[in-house]
Formats: sequence, C-alpha cells, structure tokens
Amino acid sequence: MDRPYVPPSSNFGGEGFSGRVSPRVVSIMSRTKGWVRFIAVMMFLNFGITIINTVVTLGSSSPVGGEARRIGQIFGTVIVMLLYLYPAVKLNSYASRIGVLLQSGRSGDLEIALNEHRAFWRYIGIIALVFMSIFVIALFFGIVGSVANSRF
Amino acid sequence: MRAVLAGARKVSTLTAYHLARYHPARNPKPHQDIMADNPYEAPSANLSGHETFGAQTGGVTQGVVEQLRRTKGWTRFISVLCIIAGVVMLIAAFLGGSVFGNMNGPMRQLGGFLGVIIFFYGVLGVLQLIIGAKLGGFSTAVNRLMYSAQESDLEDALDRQRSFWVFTGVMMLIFVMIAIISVITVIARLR
Repeated sequence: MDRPYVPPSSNFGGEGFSGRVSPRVVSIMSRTKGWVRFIAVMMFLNFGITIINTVVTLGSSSPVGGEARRIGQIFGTVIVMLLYLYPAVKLNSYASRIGVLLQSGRSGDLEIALNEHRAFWRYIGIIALVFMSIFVIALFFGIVGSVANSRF
Repeated sequence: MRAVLAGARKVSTLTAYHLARYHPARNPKPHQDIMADNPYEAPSANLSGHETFGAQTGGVTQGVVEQLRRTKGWTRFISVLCIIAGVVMLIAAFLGGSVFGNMNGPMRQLGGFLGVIIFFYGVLGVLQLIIGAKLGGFSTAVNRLMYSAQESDLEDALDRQRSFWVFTGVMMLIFVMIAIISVITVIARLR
C-alpha cells in the first residue's frame, strides 16, 4: 500500500456482512464428511484392486485370446480408471473442502464444497446416460436382428 | 408467471456462468475468495423474492443456492433411475420366486440356492428404492430452497444429503463385511 498507483479495490466482506454459515449447517456438514471420505476411500480401494487384478491377469498366460485379449484388457483398465478414479477424486475433494469449511465456517467454502458435490453427481449422471444409451442401442439392434432372422 | 420464471431462470444461468468463471477454486487469490459479495457482480435473479440473498444472512448466499440448483437435476435423474431399478428388481424377485416355487424335477433341488439369490435380489431392490427416495428428497428440498431462500430449507437439503451418504456408507460397510466373511469361509472350507 506504499505505492501511490495501486489500483482501487472493493471492500469484500466489509461491514454488515458476516459471510458465515450457521452452526447447524457446520454440524450437518461435519457429520457428512466422514461418510463421504469413507466412500471415497472405498472407491479408491476398488480402483486399486481392479488395477492389481488386471495386471495379474495380464501377466498370466492364457490359451485363448493372445494379443487381442491383452489389448482388450488394457482398454478395459483405462475405462475402469475413468469410471472409478474421477468420482473417487471428486468425493475425496468434497470431503477435504468440507474440512476447510469446518475450520473457516465461511459460506464461500460451502459453495466450493458444493461445487465438488455437483461435479460428482454430474459425472454419475453422464455415465448413467452413456450406459443407458448403449443399452438402448444394443436392445434396438437385438430386436432388429431377431426380427430379421425370424421366419414369417 | 411462467414467462417471468423463464426469464429469471435465464438470468440465473448467466450467474452460473459467472460463478464458474470467477470461482475461488479457479482463482485462489485471498482477496477474491468471497465472490458472492462482489459489488461489481453481474445482476442475478432471486427466485425467492425475499431479501435474504441481498443481505446474505445466515450463509444462504445465491452462490450456495446456485450450486445446489445445478446439482438438483442430476440427483433427480439418478433417483428416478434408482426407483425404476428397484421396482424392476422387486418384480423380478416376486416373479422368480413364484416361478421357481412351482417348478418340479432337477430345478427343485436348486430351490434353496435360488431362494437365497431371489431373497438378495429383493433386498437389493428395496435398498435401491430407499436410495432413490433419499436422493429424490434431497432434490425436492433444493427445489424448496430455491423459492424460499430460508436457512431452514438449506439445512433440510444438506441434512437429506447427509442422510443419503450415511445410508450409502452403512450399506457399503455391510457389503464389505459380507465379502470378507465370504472370503474367510471359502478359505476355511478349502483347507
């Protein structure tokens, strides 16, 4: 502030605005945090077990498949990484953001925490939509195939 | 009334863009971390009609409501999917039970095993219904909050969300315990 040419700034969080959440909200979020962290850890564990399982099966020799099987497994692992890792990371950061909120009690931190929560549900919704689309397309081709093969 | 609501939603979408663009998580400068009270912020709709957002009392800022509003659609979608899946599983369990109950011959010898599977199917269906109801309750509470901007509605929405996570966590804990017991049982039988 010694410089005379400092740009003007507004008084964020100035008089008359506490910007704090109520103690009940803090209490609810503190009781949410542990379970969210637990579920995130479980998802990380699931991810780890899937990766170990894939690595072990990639290392073992199989009489069927060969190179195609390996490529399929690597492709499957990448899909699993995308499916399991992102929501686990989002839930974990949601729990961490709740931790920050519990320390500060500021509504800005509640917004950041809820932003992580929103990102988690958006991802789950998009994944559900993708799987539903695949299911509907498979059903459509199945019906078309069975009608084409039937003898009328 | 509808036109007014549609207009308000449009302005609210602009606010969502503003929040995403100037969110503290993306701009973690200390003087920018409370964005909701930025005096140069673009105008945004207050669906509640109360002065709560303006005064920003009790932590019900428009940013908090905006985040919950953007979550609500996805949670409603997943809750509907859960309820449909739960109903389908329950119907399948009832139909499966009645079909296998009336079977004769070699299939009847599998009766006990199939009964256990059908029972678990039914239990899973009920659990899906509960999860769907909890998520749906959260979405409804957020909807109420959007129009009231009352702190009690924010607490209700967050409490319903907590209830969902607690239920999911307990369910996960039970399934992990069942899996561990099953593995121990299988190992003990193999020895």
